[in-house]
Amino acid sequence: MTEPIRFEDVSKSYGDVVALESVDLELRPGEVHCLVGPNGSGKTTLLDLLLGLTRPTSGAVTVPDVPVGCSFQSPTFYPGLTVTENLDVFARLSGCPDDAWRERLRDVFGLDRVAGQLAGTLSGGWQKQLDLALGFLNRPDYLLLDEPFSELDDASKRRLLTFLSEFCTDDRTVLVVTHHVRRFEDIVDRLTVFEAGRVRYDGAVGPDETAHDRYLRVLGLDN
Amino acid sequence: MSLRSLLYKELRWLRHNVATVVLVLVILPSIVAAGTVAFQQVIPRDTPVALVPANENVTEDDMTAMRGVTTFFAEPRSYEVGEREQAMRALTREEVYAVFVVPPDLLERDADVTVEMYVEEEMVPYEQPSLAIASILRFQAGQVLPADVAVERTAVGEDRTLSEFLVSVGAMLVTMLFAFAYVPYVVADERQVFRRIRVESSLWHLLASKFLVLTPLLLVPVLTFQAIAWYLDFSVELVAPGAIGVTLLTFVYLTAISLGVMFLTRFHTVGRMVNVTLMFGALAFSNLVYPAGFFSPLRREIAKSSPLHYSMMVQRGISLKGQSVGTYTDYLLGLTGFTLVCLLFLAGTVVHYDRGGYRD
Repeated sequence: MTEPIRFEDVSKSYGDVVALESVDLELRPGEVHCLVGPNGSGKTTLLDLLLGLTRPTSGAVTVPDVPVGCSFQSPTFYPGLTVTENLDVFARLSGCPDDAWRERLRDVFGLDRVAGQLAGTLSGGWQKQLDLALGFLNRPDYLLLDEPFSELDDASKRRLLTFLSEFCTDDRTVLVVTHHVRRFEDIVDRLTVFEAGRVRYDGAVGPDETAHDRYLRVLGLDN
Repeated sequence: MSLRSLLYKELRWLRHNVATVVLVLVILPSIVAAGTVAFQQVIPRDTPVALVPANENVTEDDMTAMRGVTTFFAEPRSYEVGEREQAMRALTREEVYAVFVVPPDLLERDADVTVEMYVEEEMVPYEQPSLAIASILRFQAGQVLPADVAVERTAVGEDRTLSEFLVSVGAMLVTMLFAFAYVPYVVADERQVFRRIRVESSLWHLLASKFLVLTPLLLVPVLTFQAIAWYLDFSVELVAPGAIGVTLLTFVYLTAISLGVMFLTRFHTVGRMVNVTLMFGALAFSNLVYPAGFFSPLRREIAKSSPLHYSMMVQRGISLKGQSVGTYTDYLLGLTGFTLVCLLFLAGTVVHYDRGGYRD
């Protein structure tokens, strides 16, 4: 069983700006965890800490030594390579298990249509699809998705949700950072609400209240 | 109204790009303006030259007199009797650009003496100045010394044309351009992928791959230069292993500097401008074409402290003069040390970028 990711009393400042303050959080294996909050509430900083892209000012972040995949808010691939070449490069880097899996991702994200195009010349939607596919490449135990729906059309959003629900097994954890929690109602297990760098709510999502309603209630936006 | 809005935008843009603007509009012009103090004469008056006593009959007074005469057009360095070979070696290594063999009896009235002057054929830009220097020496000696002084100028080495000389310089210029302009552009262009690379690999691996691919890639322009040189029947061996080695070493330390600047400035435009400034500065003050001592003693001292100057001397020595790598062992050791320092600088900037509160 995969160990959980733990944030213990984590604070992060950029100069005088406090991005996160005394955050305690646990991402449990097998859960789809939605991280929501207004702009600038510290969501992306938390993701950066989790990925080791920055270090906490204080506190500890414990990440088990298992494959982690991620899709960033802004596309992160080689703009000067084609879609296929990007998939090849990052498959090698991340240890993509097999060609069949890569083909599956090309199919799920519809990348065959743009396979030969330079990634930097793709539209925003296609760039997002490529970035998402790169996040899944190593069949990660922990998958981190930062605003996965941005730039996607409705059909692509539906395809992604279907694929996510297939992908999430007992061992796999998905952390979705989003403003659109309503879209993930069907698959979300746990909700964390951030505001001004602090955790305002962290708990399981039950049948009595939707994640979206809880989010609004926590932030006092339900009136 | 729209013009006012766009003017407002330009002012805001200026405010957000103040570092670049200050560099381009204040610092760079200041450097260029202040740099002109290093250009004082259009004839060489401060090139280092060697004075070697012809034999044991040469007195200290003879040497002093010769030093006095040569000071008009050079910076003389005295050697001892029997050190002629060392002086000629210094000529080969561009430590000096002429060797004067000082005869005895310079201070004897009506004595007929001949000063032997040695220059290198391969140092093409020094050919005409050295002819002028021989004339000046003849004239000055006739004016201030009691003896009748003749000057016998001998050019050693192989005759080379200015074109041949410039081929070796051109290869170094392309190396600079590649390191200061192209590589930073390529890496900056891929900046958007850094976050994923940092998660799935590391910036160290990314940089290592860049160096491993781009360094040998520099052989392409070097081979192009060589092919054209062969076609034009030039006697230049840019593909001699030692010449290739020092060219690649030069590329590595220049690239380490340029990438270090880019990481330090977080790939901001100001970083590119700093690199362009460094490139033109190195070009102007490293005496790649003219011997050190042309234009001013200040410029000579700057060139003598520039690693690029030594890179050029080694590359030229091997490719144009046919010297062995062993002739420049100390230069190469120094360049290797400097390369390590530059790589450490790059490593420091990457650590700073990686951990120092970086945020997109």
